[in-house]
Amino acid sequence: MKMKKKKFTGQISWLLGIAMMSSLLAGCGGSADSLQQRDTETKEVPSSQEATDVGETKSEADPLKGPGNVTLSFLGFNLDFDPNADVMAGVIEEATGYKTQYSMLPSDGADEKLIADVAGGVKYDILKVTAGQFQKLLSQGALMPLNDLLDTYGQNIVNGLADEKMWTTFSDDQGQIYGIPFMNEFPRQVDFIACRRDLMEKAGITKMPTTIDEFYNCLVTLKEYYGDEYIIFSTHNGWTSTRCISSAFGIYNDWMVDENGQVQYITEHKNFKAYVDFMKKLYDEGLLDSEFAVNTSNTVSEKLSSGQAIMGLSNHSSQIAISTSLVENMGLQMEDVDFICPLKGADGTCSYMRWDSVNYVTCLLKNCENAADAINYIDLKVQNQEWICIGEKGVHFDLDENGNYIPIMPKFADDKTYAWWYINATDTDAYAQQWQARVKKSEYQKDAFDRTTNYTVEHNPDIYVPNDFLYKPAAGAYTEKNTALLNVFQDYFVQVVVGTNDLDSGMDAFMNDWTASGGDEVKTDLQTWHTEYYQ
Amino acid sequence: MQKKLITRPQKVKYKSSFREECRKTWVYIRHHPAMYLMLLPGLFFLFIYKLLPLYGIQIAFRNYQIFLGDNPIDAIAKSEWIGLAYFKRLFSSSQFFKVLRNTLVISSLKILFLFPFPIVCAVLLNEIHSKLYHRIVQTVIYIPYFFSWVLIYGVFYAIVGSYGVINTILTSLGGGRIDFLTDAAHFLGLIVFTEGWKETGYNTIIYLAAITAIDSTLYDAAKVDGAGKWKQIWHITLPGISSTIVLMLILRVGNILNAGFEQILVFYNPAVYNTADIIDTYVYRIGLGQMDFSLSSAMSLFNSLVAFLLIVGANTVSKKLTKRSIW
Amino acid sequence: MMQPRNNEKRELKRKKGSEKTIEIIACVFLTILCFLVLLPCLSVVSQAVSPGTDVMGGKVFFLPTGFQLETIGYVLTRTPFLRSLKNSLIVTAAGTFISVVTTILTAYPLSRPDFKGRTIITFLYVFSMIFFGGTIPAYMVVKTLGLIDTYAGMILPFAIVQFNMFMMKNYFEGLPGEVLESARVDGAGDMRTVVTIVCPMAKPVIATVTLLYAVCYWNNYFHAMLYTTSTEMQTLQVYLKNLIANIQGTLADITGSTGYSPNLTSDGLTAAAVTISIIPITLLYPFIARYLVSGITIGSVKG
Repeated sequence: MKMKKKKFTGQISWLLGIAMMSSLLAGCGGSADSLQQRDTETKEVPSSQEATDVGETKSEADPLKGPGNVTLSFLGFNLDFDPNADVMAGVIEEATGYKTQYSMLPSDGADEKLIADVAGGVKYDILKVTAGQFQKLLSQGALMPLNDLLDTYGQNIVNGLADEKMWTTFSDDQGQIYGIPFMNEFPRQVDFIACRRDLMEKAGITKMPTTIDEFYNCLVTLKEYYGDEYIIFSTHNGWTSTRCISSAFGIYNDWMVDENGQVQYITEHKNFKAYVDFMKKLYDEGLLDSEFAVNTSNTVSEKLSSGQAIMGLSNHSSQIAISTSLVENMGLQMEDVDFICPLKGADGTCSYMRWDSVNYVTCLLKNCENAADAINYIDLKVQNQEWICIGEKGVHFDLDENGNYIPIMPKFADDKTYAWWYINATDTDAYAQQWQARVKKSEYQKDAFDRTTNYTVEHNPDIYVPNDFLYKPAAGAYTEKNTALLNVFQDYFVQVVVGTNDLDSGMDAFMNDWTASGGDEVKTDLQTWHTEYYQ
Repeated sequence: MQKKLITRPQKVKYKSSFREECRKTWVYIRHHPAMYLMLLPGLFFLFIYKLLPLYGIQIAFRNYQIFLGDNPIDAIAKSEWIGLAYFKRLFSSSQFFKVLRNTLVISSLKILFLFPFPIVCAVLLNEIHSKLYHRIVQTVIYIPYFFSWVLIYGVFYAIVGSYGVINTILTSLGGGRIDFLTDAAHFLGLIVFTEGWKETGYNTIIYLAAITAIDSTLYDAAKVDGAGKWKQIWHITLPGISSTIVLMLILRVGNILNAGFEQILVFYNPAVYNTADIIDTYVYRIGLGQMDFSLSSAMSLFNSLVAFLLIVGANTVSKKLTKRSIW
Repeated sequence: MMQPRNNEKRELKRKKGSEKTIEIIACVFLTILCFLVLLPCLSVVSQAVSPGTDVMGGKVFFLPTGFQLETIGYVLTRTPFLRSLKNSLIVTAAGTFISVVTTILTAYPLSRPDFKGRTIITFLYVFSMIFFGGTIPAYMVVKTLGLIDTYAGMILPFAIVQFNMFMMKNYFEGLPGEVLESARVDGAGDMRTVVTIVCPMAKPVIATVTLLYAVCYWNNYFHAMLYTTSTEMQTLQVYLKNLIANIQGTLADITGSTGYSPNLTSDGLTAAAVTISIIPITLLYPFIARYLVSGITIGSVKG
């Protein structure tokens, strides 16, 4: 016992001495810390070029340092894979000749991390960020104008974007371009309501509803037949959750323009009350999931996958998991899973907005030292788009008789799963075709895509409405404040539907919050731009 | 006259005692240099990592534009000084008093139900004689501390959701569903329960450590005096850990404006905003989509000021009443 | 708090009787508590090891419906796992060590009633615990010291956590002054007193604070994320959080690839990730627990 005690105290005093020294050392000179094991190689690369500080005055585009002479650092959004270890890293290096060091923003706290890094002077050459993050960086003046660079080194990038007018969306009011968009692959894809055809037929429904009244009657029939056994219709609490339904009321976006050219908010739309009343009726009659206020798109997918819900909002990528589960785990046939496309009103009205959104924006920081090479690198990637994104014919994909891309599995999935993380800009027309190889990776996804998006494009092409504010430059109240407005609106909408708030008596409080969040400024901003642009 | 006579020597005494104090201090320092050396590493880290960044507090009074200067620190000085504008925006909002009230209600409920609970657990655990059982219980109740709130939500959603385990049982027994997540009263209960689930084990450890400090000879003496177990708990165990209880209570009450941001953010939904929206979640939502460092700084400074006043107050009161204090 | 009030009634009963009663009450109470705590935990583990079809079908509640290790295997075999586990272990071990030592050294002087400067320094710790300068200034300190992407960068900001320091100080204050004085009379220096007298007597609180620090380093996501940029320096929490956050997309992405299996479900993988992150730190607890059994006789330290 005594021995043990002595040993213990001996250890402690020894440890204390060391720790005091090491902690003092660590504190005094950070770099002297013995714990610092990270090799500084990768960190040194950008700083070795610091000798010639280019600054931000660029009348002419910089000269190229050229592939092989510079390692580019690339910061991308969060995804669950290691971008430096994936096969794609080698493919990109082969295609462009540039060595690239990839980093990723975190899944949680990405905005803080991005702002702290960028403001704190961490050097990244290429940033691929969300539209919101791009906006923050731009409004704080952190970005480099790209016009000269694109003219000199980025002709394929410029020409790749089919809709030339889109460039204004990534420019300031002076016409300086700050961002390169990676556009939504297929703007006409639609959300849909996934249904259990087997359960519907059992309840006596043979025809899939296409109008809002048929839809309602169908829900009522199901409720009468099944009672509480199933959730009749499930959707999540974001306002986009009901785009397939609001289409029947002519409501397609949070901001719209009426026939007189007046900008109006969704709450000012002439059918808004009818739309909310409809949703409220569904909720009150138990047709809409009682967890509507709580649901996220994930929980809706899970309710469909586990067979708890008969109908639910879905899209082609969520449908992979849902159909897989229903067919492979629950023993359904593929025909038992059916889809309802955006609904029509009684008079045939149906407005569904083309989703010409950007997935991600690529931008360069104003103190970027390898700007010319960065643009050149992106341009080279556009030139080699097919090879980078979907690979080699006969190895990764084949073409069918109509020239459609068919993936060769599992090679395609093994090598090209994360290809899209590496892409900055696309040749949009070509990519819309190539991307379908990705859709066809899963037969369930392909089936859902064919029966909803492709069906709508073919049979109901008139339902698509353009986004009225698509070409608005990335400046002003709209870009800064609309997220907050949308939150205020969604909360009000959900509260009214579930009955904790009232549409009419709660309107004043809603308008107060809305105005406090900048609603009027945004409206003026949009109106001014819209009038000028479309005069 | 008499008064004067009394006060004067007192003053002199005070003066001399001050000098005496200084001399004593000097003597103490000379005799105990090691005591001051020991403090150095801690003070060093405190200064670098805790006190230096306090420079950033002024962000709350400026329209902070992070890219304005050469670096974010430089930018602080260059950002426009706008005084209390952000505080005004915070307090003048129609929502502010509602969210302040919610914050206080939720925090108070948590203190009321959850503060005594770990003490009870620790005291009872101390009465267990089987060492094996003792260790098993300790290890088990501390596991939930490692669950993040997102995950706890997932776990409890499966249990209390409208179609979760509890409601499935209720409906199969012919009862109606209970909306734990969308009904205000049930929601508050859920918030308090899940916090207790996560934190009880962790806090129990703190009291357990304090219990070990109690001189076991006291118990032996009590047994000789014929005191029963309840009496021992009341007269030895609880007084023995009272300084820890006071320390914990002062800190907890000081943090009353901190009602559990992460927890509520994952648990709440628009249907329960009227009771569940707290200051932090409210500021988080109105600042969403805008990098509003100044607004969140103003909020955190307000929280800190309240905490500071409460902690200083509670410490003073406690010093007077119980002779226990943090400093 | 209710039990002591029953005190008066029970007083009349025989001592032995009350001892038995309380142990039974404690046993029942704590066993119920353990079940309440364990059931949800059990459901997490069950989700991780049950077949994917059952997890997806919502058939797994508290007990596993089968057994498979593919889900856990997926999380364990991917490249970032071992790397991030290594980083987490280094940060936790080195950080806990530095922190505990710094905390002991700070708490001891502040616990001595005769220590000059006690009030002001203690107050400094209280003040810095309440007021916080913000994320960005703290980030800039780490950045300016050149500690971004280093272990030191993730450790040193937590070298001393005020709450833990107060807990230790509190415990030291409870130690009998005579023992410390007698050491001084024997001619032991302050440093030697800490090492040879205070530390052995304060084993329970040192063990507890060690645990608190280890948990703090192990669980830390936000700073580990903020102060690192390269994937090489990712800690386990960062890796697991990324895994969980992207699960839906990842599963859609890997459909059709050779890595796909029906046992890979979002709930299953989340549960597996959590199970894996909790096991190492839970293993630490039994080592701490042995110090938390009361009955340490202060008299025995003297002898």
